[in-house]
Amino acid sequence: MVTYGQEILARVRALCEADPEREACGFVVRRAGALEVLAVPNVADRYHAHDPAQFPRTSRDSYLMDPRAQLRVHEELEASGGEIVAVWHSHVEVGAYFSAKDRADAVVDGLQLLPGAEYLVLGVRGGRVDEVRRYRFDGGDFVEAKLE
Amino acid sequence: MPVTLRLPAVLAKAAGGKTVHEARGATVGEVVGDVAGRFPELGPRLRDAKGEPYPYVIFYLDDEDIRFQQGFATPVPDGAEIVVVPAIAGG
Repeated sequence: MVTYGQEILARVRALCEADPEREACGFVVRRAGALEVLAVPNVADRYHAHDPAQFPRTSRDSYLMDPRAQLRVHEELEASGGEIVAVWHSHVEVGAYFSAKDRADAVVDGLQLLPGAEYLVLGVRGGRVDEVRRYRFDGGDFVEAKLE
Repeated sequence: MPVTLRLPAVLAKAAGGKTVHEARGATVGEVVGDVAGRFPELGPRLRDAKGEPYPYVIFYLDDEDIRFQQGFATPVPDGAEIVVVPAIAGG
C-alpha cells in the first residue's frame, strides 16, 4: 500500500485551501517511482450552467474533472510509463467522507473506473482542511484505509 | 475516409477487447451507431434508451465535448478521431 508522506499530503491540502468554497480535485500519480500531485480543473459549474437537468450540482457540492485535462493526464502517463495512484477531491463544510455519489461515479458495472486507484477526500471548513480520509476499493466496495 | 472512435479501457471489454475502432458516419451519433452495431453490448454503455449521451460519458471531437457542440448531431470530418472519456466525478 502506497505511503503518501507529509509533502504530498501538504500539497493536496494547499490546493484544496486555495479554493475553499468549491470542491477541488486532481490526481496523485507515480512517475519514475516518485509521487506527484496534479490538480485538474473542476468544471462542474460549466456543465451545470449548460444543462442543469443532467448536472444538477455545482462545484460547491460536486466535482467533474475537466475531461480535456483528464485526457491529457492519461496520455502523458501512457507515454511516460506513469500511473494514477489516487484521485483526490475536497468537500466544502460537510466533512471528509466517501459519499454515495463518490461511490456511484467511481464504479462502472462493478469495476473501478480507474483500476487500482485510491481516493483521498479532504474536508474543508472555514477555509482550512481539517480532515483527510483515504478509501480503497476492496471486495467490491470502497473501504476506509489508514492514511500514511 | 473512415473516422476513429477511441474507447477507454473500461469499455473495451464490451467492444471485442479493442480500444480503437475504425468507423463510418457523418455525425458523432452515426459513428457511435456504426460501432455499437458491431458490438451489441457496447451500445447501452455509450447512449441511453433515448439514444442520447449519458451525462458522464463524454465524447470529444476537435478538443471539445460534443455536448457543447451539437451533441450526437455534431458533424464528423473525414479522418477525425472521437475520443470517449469516462468523466471522473463525485460529490
